Amino acid sequence: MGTRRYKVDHSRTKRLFELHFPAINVDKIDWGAASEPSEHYNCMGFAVGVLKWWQPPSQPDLTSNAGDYWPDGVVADVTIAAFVSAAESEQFSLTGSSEWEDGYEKIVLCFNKEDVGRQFTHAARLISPDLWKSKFGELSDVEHTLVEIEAAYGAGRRFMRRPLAAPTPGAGNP
Amino acid sequence: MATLITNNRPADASLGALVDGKVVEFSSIEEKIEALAEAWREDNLGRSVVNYFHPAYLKIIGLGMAAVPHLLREVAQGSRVWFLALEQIVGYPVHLPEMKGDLAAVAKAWIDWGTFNGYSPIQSGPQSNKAAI
Repeated sequence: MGTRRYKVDHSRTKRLFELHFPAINVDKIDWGAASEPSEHYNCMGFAVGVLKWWQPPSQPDLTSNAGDYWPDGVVADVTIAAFVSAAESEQFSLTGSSEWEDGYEKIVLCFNKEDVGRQFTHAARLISPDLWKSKFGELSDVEHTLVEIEAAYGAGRRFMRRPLAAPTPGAGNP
Repeated sequence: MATLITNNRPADASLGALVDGKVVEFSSIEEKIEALAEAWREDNLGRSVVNYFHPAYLKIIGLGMAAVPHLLREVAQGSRVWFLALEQIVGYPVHLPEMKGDLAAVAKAWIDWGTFNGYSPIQSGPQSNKAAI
């Protein structure tokens, strides 16, 4: 059985991006590299590479959706500190630099500086020296700059990095 | 077809709902659920952490067992966002604790529960072009 290839119709997603994220230039997005919309994983899942919907329960055993994921042992709240801890559970560590570094994966976790509760708002992954990529809620994951998402998700940022995994001996491209 | 109610309460209270600041009477429970779900999705669009305390989501829970076949249909079609509503309506989780976060396992647990308890997912017309609620 071969791999099914098909062209995804992103027209609805484009309209929603134009409506809800006007700072993002949809014409510059490489839609061929964008995912289909999915409610199965969110920006945090995309950033750390564990494709689940990372969301802590509001109150344990009371308001958690069984389809949501939150790592064991990490404080269950929506603060930026809790999401930093969640990323640390995937071997990411805080760094002061947003710059591309060879040999590392880099992510950014966002929050509103004006928010006294410092609630987490978004996560993105650095995919090239000047381009980030993230999943917008249930919408697609698309590339963008940090400036383009600032109005929607705030200017507060925590950068984190993780050493790239060493290639597995004998593993090649499929 | 939904009817906008101006002065009077809906004839059937279970088919009325406040949506986007307007009281609307729907022709069926399914239509009401779809409108509420759309309102919930619209307000959560682009959000990294969705709001299960949203009025529309709570209204769907408030429909009680009448909503269960419709929510099971969404679960059967791959939606993960209605597990909490189902759990709140039924009153208990049907999945094992270790299934949490495993969409396929939780979905199967709900479908199996529905089958065992006589709540088959409601089918509503052709599904191929229908967006998930």
